[in-house]
Amino acid sequence: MDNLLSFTRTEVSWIDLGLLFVYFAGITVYGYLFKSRVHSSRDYFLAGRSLPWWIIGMSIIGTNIGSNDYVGGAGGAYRIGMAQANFEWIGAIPAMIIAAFIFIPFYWRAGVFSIPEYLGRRYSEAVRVIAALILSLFSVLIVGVFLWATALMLQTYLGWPILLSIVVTAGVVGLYTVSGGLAAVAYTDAVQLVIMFTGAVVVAVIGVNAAGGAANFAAQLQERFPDHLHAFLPSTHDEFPWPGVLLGLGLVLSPAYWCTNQAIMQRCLGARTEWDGKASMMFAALAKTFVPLLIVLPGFFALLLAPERLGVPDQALPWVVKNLLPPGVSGLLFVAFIAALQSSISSTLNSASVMVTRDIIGVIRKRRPDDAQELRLGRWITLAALVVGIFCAPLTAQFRGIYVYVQQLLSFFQGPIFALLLMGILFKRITPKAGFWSLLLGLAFAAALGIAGLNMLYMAFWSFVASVLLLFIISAFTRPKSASELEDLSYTSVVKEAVDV
Amino acid sequence: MFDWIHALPLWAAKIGAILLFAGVLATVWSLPEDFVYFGAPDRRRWRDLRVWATVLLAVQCGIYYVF
Repeated sequence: MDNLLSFTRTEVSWIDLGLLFVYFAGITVYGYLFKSRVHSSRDYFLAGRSLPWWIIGMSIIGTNIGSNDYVGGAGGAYRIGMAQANFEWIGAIPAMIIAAFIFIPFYWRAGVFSIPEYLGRRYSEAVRVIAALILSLFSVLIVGVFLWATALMLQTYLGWPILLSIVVTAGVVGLYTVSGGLAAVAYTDAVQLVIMFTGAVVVAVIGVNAAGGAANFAAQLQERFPDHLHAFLPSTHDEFPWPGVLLGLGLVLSPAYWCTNQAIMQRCLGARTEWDGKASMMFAALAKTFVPLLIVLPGFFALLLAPERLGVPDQALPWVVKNLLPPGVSGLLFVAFIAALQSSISSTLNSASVMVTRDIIGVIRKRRPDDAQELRLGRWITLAALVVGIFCAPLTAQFRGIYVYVQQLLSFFQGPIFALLLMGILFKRITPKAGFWSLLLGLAFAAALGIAGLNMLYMAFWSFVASVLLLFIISAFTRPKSASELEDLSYTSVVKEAVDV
Repeated sequence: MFDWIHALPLWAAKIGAILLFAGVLATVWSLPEDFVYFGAPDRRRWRDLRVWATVLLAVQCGIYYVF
């Protein structure tokens, strides 16, 4: 987080300020216009199941990319080179394809609003509530982190007080997220993604030109930093050993993120058809393929063009902004940063709201609210999540490296939840009791591995393996659900239905 | 825990990555065509998502082969 503080310019031009003002005003009005489309909880949480594949695809990547990807990605490329891109390539593309073909059809056809709701139907309401509690708690925490990051950037770039920056950001995002629901979030995400890519492409063009053209840029990298051009690092590497990248990231963490993340999946559930849902993830994978070029290249620019070695690798992007970008372009990049953060905040708020409203309050309350009450409750919960996020935001300053800390905490529960989803979809024999106990014991096992100091990539892998084993062992001694109860919830039933139709 | 892997050369990682991509591709092409097109307004070739997956994975194979 501290690296964002270094994003200070000596002066801000009127062009930069104008860009920022136009962005804030435009995105607020555009997002608020979607309020008129919301008449029911289905409209609010799932955009009335009307979203086309290309909007969802852009929204997925808008949600996925945060300012940490820009700053940390460039810093990582400066430090370890091309290996940084593993998070965007092998750590994303295969999992996104699996999500498109294996997971989205089940979620969409089951007609659920959230991942915990699917778990509830496949296993039990207890599993649903536990999963929703874990995922929504992290969502609110992450909203606080995103708000703090945005406030730091506004403070350092424009000199705004932190509190004012948090309130302005929360006000803008809150207005359209609370009023317009998923449709407002998805369409504003798409606009924000265009801004992000435009900013990154302009930086890439300016950087390559500064390095003497594309051919010279590539030749210099090859000659001076050949080690930075390897996608895999030795197995003895402290942070990213290649076995950890393949097994932990490629096989567990990445599929767990892309197949079970509520903020990502919610817009797919709002697709107008099942095909649109599947195609949206494939389109997002196409965009994701190009993300490393946009976030890794600035790291290489700093590597080649900085006259002396940077003390902190995460200074790579700030160095490029300060030394290479003219006024107007730096403002565009700053707006891209803010857009990246706001799209993540709005998506996380919307997903937290659906989980708290339907999967926690909706299950615990004995009498189910009618649709109008659920819509009203959803709006209030969104607002409440934003307010809690505002109060959590300053706490971020108490923890050094909170962003990495949050990522590590994510690896505690992604393995067990992914195991429940994957095995639940593939095998009808997996029982509700096995789901409940595997979730709890898998979480405990992951926590034990984390306390023992195991690398988070290996922790995710082994907690996944342990949860899978537990699912099969406990299922052998307990009763499964009947075939009729598992209709539309298992692989064979969904594929068979498609073929029959 | 993974000591035996430490002895493997770095190119083994590339082979592992390409095997992963091949496995995903095989999974995708094993799915029935009706399932892939389910919900699509028509059956034009560009809507075959298996073709999209093939292009995406071919690019990945190329990237990991070069780097």
